Amino acid sequence: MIEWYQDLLQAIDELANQKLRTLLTLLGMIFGVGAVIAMLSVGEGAEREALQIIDTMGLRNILVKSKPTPDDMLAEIREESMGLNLQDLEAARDTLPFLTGYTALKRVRIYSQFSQFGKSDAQVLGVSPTHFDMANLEVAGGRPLTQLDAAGYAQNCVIGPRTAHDLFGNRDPIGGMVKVNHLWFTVVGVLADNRTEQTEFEGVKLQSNRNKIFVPIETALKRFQFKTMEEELDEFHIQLAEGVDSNRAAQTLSRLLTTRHRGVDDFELVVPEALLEQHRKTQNIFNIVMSAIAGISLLVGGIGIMNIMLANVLERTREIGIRRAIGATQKDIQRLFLIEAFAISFFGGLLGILLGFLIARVIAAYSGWATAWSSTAVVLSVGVCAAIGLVFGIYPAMKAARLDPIEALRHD
Amino acid sequence: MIKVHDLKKAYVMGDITVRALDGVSFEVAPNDFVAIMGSSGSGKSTLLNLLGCLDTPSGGSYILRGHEVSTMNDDRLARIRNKEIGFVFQTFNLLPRSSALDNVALPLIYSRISRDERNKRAGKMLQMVGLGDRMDHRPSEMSGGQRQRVAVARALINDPAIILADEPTGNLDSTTSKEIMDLFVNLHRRGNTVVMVTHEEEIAAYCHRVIRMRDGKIMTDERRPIEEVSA
Ligand SMILES: Nc1ncnc2c1ncn2[C@@H]1O[C@H](COP(=O)(O)OP(=O)(O)O)[C@@H](O)[C@H]1O
Ligand SMILES: [Mg+2]
Repeated sequence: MIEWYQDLLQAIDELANQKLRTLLTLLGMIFGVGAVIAMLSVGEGAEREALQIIDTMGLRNILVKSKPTPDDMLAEIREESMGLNLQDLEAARDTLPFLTGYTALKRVRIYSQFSQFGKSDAQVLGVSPTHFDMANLEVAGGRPLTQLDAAGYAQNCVIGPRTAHDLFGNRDPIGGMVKVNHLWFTVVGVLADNRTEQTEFEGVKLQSNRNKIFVPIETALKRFQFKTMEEELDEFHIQLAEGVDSNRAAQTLSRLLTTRHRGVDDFELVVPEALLEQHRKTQNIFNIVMSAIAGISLLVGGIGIMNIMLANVLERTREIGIRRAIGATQKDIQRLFLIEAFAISFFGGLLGILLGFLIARVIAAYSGWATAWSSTAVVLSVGVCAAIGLVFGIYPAMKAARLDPIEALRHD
Repeated sequence: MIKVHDLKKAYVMGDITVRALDGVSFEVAPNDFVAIMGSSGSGKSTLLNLLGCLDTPSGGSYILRGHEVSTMNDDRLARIRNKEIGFVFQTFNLLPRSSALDNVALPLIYSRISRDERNKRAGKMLQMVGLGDRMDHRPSEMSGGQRQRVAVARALINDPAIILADEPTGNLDSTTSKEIMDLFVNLHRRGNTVVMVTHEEEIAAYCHRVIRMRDGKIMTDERRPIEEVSA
């Protein structure tokens, strides 16, 4: 076996000799690969963000949210339905035996909120102690709320990173005091900063946890004032055991709540697993469309390579004759041109990858979409390019190999 | 060394058949120095290409060092071209973008010889043809005579059994032609077997055997005593 790098060096030399022509023929391939890389890194970014978002909802959770009721109809509606309440949650736990956790949420209306050092406009949320686990909230300092806080109607709270900054500046907030409306709370924990900037996912509004004050829901319900006829809970989340079909569970839950609310449409269910499914479907459509575009570009690129290689073979007919005359076999000639086609497409692939990352960067900068480096994409593109080089290079290479030595020597 | 019997080559073009070679028989012994002469179109190049295994005959037999060549497949022919035969062309046929050294070393690539060894041998060979100081020059940077020396060095690099040359001086002026012929004479003195095509009597005068051809046939085949060969 001939040292293949000999042929490779020759090929590189050949390409360097015809920079512009090579580059022009490669454009199709460069854009094709660029599109694939950009697409895959946008896709990868979206996927990672989706997973992160789903993580904050909890993949195994079902979220029940109360829908706002118009004030003028409230009295009428309350004759039928009390709105979302703790008994609903009890009933859900009784009806769905496979729950592994639950949390209830209640927003507290705020008129004043400050510490010794600053003011805040954070949302105050009463939650069950299990909430931190279920929503995958990471406590960066201190501790989350506990069953003890709940049972003792403790005036303890966990705050978001932005809230911590508003209230305490750069001081350590743990142990600090916050006055929420008429009550003093002790800060026992601060949440980690999660970076998701999205405000919506698959049609569901997202709330950042950066500017929040979490207090035990028991404390909230007992100590804060609520409007008359206001629903008891804003949300409750239930966590399903591993292997439970979340769509089926959601249906059961929906039927149960509809009965309990006597048909009043004052709640909605969010199923993160279904959202993720939905997201992946859209992502797939996006991928298919982009793949088709990329495929066509690559096909065009491949034809370009075939074209340049045929021109090459024609131009170097004499050289082929010389090589054959001094002992090159047909295989030797074929390999020479195949390696050249391979080198061109590999080079085109590399440029395409660069372009792809550039496009992804630009997309990220202007659209705010997350993009992520996908090593699969790089390996895939290089592989595809190499394959294209070989597939579209084989015909010209065979043509070169089959030239009659004497005819080839006479060429020009 | 070479045994050719009733060798034929016909080109069919539409309904006319050109008998470029029409039943040629002869032998070449080791260390022969043969000139093939004849007017243009008499079949000299056709014969030499067959001897050089660049082409396959339409009939007859060609035995090179005891092996029947006319029925060999393409790969074996390539091997023979690589190892047994050194071919020198009228138009030099060097790779224009490669250095003299790389041109001379080229056949060794197809003999699967390592790069270092290739360069060593090619360097020696260039020295032998008097171009030790031109190794890095490209063909375009050399004179016709120098190019043909490079081509001869390339033909010799694999130590072939026989050297074939098709009008090696055809593109050279008379002074340079003499230099190249001196090179061939030297090769012959060192024991090489040389068969060359020419239509110039002055060139043929260097050889000690002259085969004259006409219309694809051998007319005369005469040997001359070495003393008569011009120096
Ligand atoms: N490839 C070919 N196709 C058709 N005819 C050819 C071909 N090669 C050579 N010939 C013919 O064969 C004859 C001998 O050619 P050639 O061997 O080149 O002659 P020489 O070298 O003696 O001038 C000529 O008539 C030429 O036209
Ligand atoms: Mg001729």
